[in-house]
Amino acid sequence: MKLLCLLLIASCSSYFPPIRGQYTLSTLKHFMISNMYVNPSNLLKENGQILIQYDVIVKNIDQKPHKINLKDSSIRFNEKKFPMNCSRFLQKDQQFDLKNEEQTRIVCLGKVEKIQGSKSDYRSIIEIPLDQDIAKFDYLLRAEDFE
Amino acid sequence: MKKLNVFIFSLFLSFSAMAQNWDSVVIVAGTFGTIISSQYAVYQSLIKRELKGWANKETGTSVKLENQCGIQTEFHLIGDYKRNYIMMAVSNHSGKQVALNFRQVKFTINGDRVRYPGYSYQVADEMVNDGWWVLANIPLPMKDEFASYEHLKVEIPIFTTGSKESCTIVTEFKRSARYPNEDVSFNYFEFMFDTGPSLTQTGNVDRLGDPNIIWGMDFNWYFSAMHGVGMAFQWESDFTSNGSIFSGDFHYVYRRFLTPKFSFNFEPGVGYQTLVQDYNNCYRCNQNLSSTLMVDYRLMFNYVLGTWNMADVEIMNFFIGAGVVHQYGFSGETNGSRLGLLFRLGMGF
Repeated sequence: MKLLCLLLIASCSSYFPPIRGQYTLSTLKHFMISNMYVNPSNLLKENGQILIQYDVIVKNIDQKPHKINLKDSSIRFNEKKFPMNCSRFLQKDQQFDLKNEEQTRIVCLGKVEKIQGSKSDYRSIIEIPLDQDIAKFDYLLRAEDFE
Repeated sequence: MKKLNVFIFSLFLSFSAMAQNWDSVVIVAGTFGTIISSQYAVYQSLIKRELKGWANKETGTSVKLENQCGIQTEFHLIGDYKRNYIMMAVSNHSGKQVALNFRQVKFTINGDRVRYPGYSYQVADEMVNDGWWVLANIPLPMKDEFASYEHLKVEIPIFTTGSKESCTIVTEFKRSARYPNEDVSFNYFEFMFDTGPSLTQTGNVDRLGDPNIIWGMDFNWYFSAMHGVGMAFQWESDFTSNGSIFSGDFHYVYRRFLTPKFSFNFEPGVGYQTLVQDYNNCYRCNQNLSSTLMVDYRLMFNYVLGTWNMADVEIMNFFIGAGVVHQYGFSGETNGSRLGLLFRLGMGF
């Protein structure tokens, strides 16, 4: 009976979602960026591809406004670069001005190709252009994601 | 492996039930329920939820980034199953060491009311070296008080090496919506003693004589503000020296707060019951007494008498209650329906 209980506890613990990225709060030349909204379980698989959603909070800490163009956002994975569709949370626009001391939330959606039969975890890098800066975030794809 | 474990447990449970070995059913199902509920409790305690009522409309979150006093900070209003707090990230690239004076944090509530959380043992000053990135928690007042807030201004004094003057980081939050049960904790356990007079009985149980008193224990665990599961054990005696009826059930709990202190509980359950003989004056000596399947429910009104608080967190509360218990046994000596009054003394934590 005790062995059964231990087995059940061990098997239940594997239901906890994996960690895919660390919380970061960092400063670029003109912006503060944070990825507090990385949802570790928000990962879908579709037709041999993995869908990734990534949320970022950005604040303009420069004295003047900056033009943001999110069209060149991407995710680097397995030596390839995949485009990400990034836009503001509420307005859904990809090009906008961010005023001095203004903050906004950027939501990115992207797809990467699954590596068939892989048994390794892979580190990918999400890149979001912010005027003259580029915000970079690590994102971990687990071996289980490729099953 | 997971499916195999569940299969073995279910098989064992089914065999026990088929053999009408009710003791084994209770032990196996109880073990199973305890493991599942404890795992879920651990999972709940790990989950931190953003306070939705404070989400900024533009970003859909409560996150505030601040670049003040030469350091970068991020504020985030978070609640777990029992308390609310500010999760704060600090990134120091000022070239100096800074000390965040969390003991002197000042809250200004709804524009004019001031509160200091600095007396809390959970709060300590945080030293952040140049190049460091740290996470810190500032506990907020208890859920029921915080639910009345509309506007919150937070001021944190910091000291920088080489400077005698403190600098204050300021951030503000404004409530954007209100949600039900913001003031209620979940992942919450209750332990209760119940006792009261027997009222009526029908069926075979009539032959046992007139019962006069009920006493027992009840355990509830709430996995959300209004819903929970539990176990109850109850004895009903004295059937004019024939013994007493023992009942054990597993039940669902629906809880509704009518006021912050006054709640209504409905606990429908299923279990088993058996007659415990008085061997000095036995009812059916040398004969087997069968156990039987039983359904029951409790309707209770609970009132919180007081709470034990420590550092803005409710550690335990004490409550009394009153209501009825109604049981129905399907066969054997205890076949029939029994109704009793219950008075309750309980503690929740």
